Amino acid sequence: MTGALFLKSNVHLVIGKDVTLLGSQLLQDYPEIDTRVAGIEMRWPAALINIIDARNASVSGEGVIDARGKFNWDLYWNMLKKYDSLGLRWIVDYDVKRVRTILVQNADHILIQGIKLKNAGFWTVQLLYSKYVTVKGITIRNNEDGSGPSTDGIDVDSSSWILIEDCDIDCNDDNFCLKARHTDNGLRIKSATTRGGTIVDIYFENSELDSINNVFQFNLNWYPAYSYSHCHRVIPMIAFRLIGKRCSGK
Amino acid sequence: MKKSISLLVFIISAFAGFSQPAWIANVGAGDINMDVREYNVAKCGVKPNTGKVVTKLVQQAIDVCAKAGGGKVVFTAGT
Repeated sequence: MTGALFLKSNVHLVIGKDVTLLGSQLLQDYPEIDTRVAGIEMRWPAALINIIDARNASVSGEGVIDARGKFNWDLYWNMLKKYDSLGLRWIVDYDVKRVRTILVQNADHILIQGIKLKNAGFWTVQLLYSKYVTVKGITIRNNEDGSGPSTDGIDVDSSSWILIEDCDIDCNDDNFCLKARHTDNGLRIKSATTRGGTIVDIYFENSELDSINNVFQFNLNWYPAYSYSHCHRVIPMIAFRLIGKRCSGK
Repeated sequence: MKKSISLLVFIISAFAGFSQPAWIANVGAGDINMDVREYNVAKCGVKPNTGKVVTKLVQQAIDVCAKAGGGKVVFTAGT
């Protein structure tokens, strides 16, 4: 059982067969770092496994990483009740600081392969400000301990040259996935006029999506009551190009 | 006529199916060399099923490995 671990360049973490790495259920075991969550630069707890400012590193193996994130979910539901009654629904997502399972931040030539990730406290894998990252053959099961809020599968944030293949993902929020169950959305692109940046060159093929509401969902003006609670003056530049979508849905 | 239309559809869908944009070849981590020195966390005092938080021990293994120029930090079952 561990709290936040920080991988370095040229270090390859291998979780062997029949090994389960458990995440600590104490928030204090995840020190706050400078990172970005839902489009805002902020202090936020480190992930269980962090690959930050590094290159040529990996997490692989046939074992399991069980983040045991339910303690984050409970924090969220409790605070949601409180904030909702005060009309502050929109801020809960930022105020309840929760633990991601794997964070790749400002890194390149990184491989995440083979492992099974369970019960993320928040997003499962976030790729942030990174390039040349492969996420291959991982399994994500986030609904074993109940249904957690914001337990996204793989979130690609301000990164490029990313390859995600052969993954099997089951979450309670957005998957960015090749195979999904019990969820609402397959590939979701979400923005608001307060969020800048561009999204270009996305290629999606040979994907199987099972029992979902939306294969692709594009909300470029997502949840205005939530998104525009502050006054920002950022002009959005959303350019989107979807090439060769070929989805063999069943 | 029907035959030629279905043939045309077949040819188009075959093209649509197999033509990938050229940049696809450049995505991902490329070759990561995993044939490197191995550090087993068991040798750093990490024991299974103790119910204890062993962040420091595992982080130490990672740091030692990184300082030595890199390698694998390995968890194996039952060690």
